Amino acid sequence: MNKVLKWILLLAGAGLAIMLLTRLPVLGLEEAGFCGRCHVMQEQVDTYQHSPHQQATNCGACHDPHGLLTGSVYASYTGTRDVYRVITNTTPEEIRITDMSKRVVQNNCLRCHGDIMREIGDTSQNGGNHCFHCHREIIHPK
Amino acid sequence: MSDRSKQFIMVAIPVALLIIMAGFFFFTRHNHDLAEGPVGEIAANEARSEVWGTFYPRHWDSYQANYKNSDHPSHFETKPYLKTMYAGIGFAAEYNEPRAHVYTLDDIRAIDPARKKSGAACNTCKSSQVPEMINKYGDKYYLMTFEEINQQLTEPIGCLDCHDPKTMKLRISRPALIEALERQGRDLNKISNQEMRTLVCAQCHVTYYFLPESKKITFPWDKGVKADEILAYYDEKGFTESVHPISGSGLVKPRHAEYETFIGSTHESAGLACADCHMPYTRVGNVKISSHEWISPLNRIEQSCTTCHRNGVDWLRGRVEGMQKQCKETQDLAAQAVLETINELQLSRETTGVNQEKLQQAMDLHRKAQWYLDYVVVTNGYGFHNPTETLNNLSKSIDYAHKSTRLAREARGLN
Repeated sequence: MNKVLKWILLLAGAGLAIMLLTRLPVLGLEEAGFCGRCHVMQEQVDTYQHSPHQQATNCGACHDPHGLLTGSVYASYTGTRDVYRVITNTTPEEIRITDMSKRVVQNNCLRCHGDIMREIGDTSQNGGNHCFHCHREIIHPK
Repeated sequence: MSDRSKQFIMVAIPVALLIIMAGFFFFTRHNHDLAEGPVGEIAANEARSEVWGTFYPRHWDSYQANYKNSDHPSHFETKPYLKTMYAGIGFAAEYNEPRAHVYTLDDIRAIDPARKKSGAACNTCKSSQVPEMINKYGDKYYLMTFEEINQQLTEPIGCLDCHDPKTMKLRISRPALIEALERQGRDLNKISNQEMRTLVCAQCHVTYYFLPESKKITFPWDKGVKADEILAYYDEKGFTESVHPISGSGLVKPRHAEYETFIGSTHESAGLACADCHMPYTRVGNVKISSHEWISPLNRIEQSCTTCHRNGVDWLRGRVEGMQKQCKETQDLAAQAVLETINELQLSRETTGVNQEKLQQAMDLHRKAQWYLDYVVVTNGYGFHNPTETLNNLSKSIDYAHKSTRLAREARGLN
């Protein structure tokens, strides 16, 4: 029994360590160069590379939670899901942001632009619109 | 505890602490806290906007910019047919395009006395002090004279009309809207902030009527907020506001139905509120505020439209003005049809031995035709708040007017 527990803990530790690797900058797993390797992301990456955000951010800066642990777990989940979709050819024709992803992106908008929004606050609170509801073409129109 | 476990703990705890601290540092490094909540203490009934302005200087600046919006040409210049349509009511004496909120008191004091006959209620959307007056006098407020209330007012529309002085949250201060929403079965505590950014405008930018006995301002929305539903509401109540002196028809008068028209429009369906276009988030120095200069978005397309629509200012202006031109053209056509009806009804009424039943039917149709036309005429925006619905209403007006004209002619034996 003790041995089983040891193995489970070891595997869990190893899994967590692998997940944490997604946040290791040198691996570039949050960069457009990596995300754009799959054809389905081509349009998003192409348009992103012509946007002002191209100079200051990468995909993960907006699409993953900022926390070390939350960010790596979330990136691992979405990354695995996306790979599964590509392998099984089940990627939707029109890729739409999920509700959870909306929260993540909104928080990341405000993480950098919170200063200029200090009088207005988080517009998505209490049934409001997210930043990217209006500013939809500013990063990657597609 | 063995030595090995002790050693392990001695190493593990500092390492764990280091990881937590590093994580916390990296997490908060780029985070900016949003400063929310009120800045200063403002008294519960503070109607003087300049007092609020000392705490919110940027908003105050944009509110002051409203003084620039000072033109209010007469509607009769571009719509000469209104004089005949409005015969017998105050609107025929004077009816001007609106100007900025800061001029509400100046303008109502300067208007032709024929427009003040309804009494104190006319002040309801002209001053931030009115909710206090309604509190003070209760339902008696609506029965007082225009002057009794007006002479007590010093502040035009301002901060207190839409904001709670304690929390700065949006609030509804006018009883008519609160009552109308309650009759719709809405829970006022469960209204989202985004909808409030429309509803604070709907306190005044809506159609209304005075209840016959109490003269209480009431929104005719119990069957719905669309032109057909509002007319059905009046018809069911047998309500007639005035009798047209030339045609003899019993009429009801729509008023600036911007809110009702906007509901169900393309922009409303996309989740937008009045404030999204009319109070766009505007950069002032190193911060953005919701502009409190209430003007047509056409006067600042870059702030109001291009955030979502990246097609360029000229293209956007062309689209909007094109739609407005089409609506105005159709409106003028409907007006010609209604004027013809009024003329035919007059001729039939002056004819002896006219078929009374057909004449009455023709008058009822004139009521409908003028309702749908007037509904569009009095609603600001020249149809852009909801172009398809506007054209739909005008088409009904033209149809009812033609039917009324035919019946009026038949009533005196013509085809």
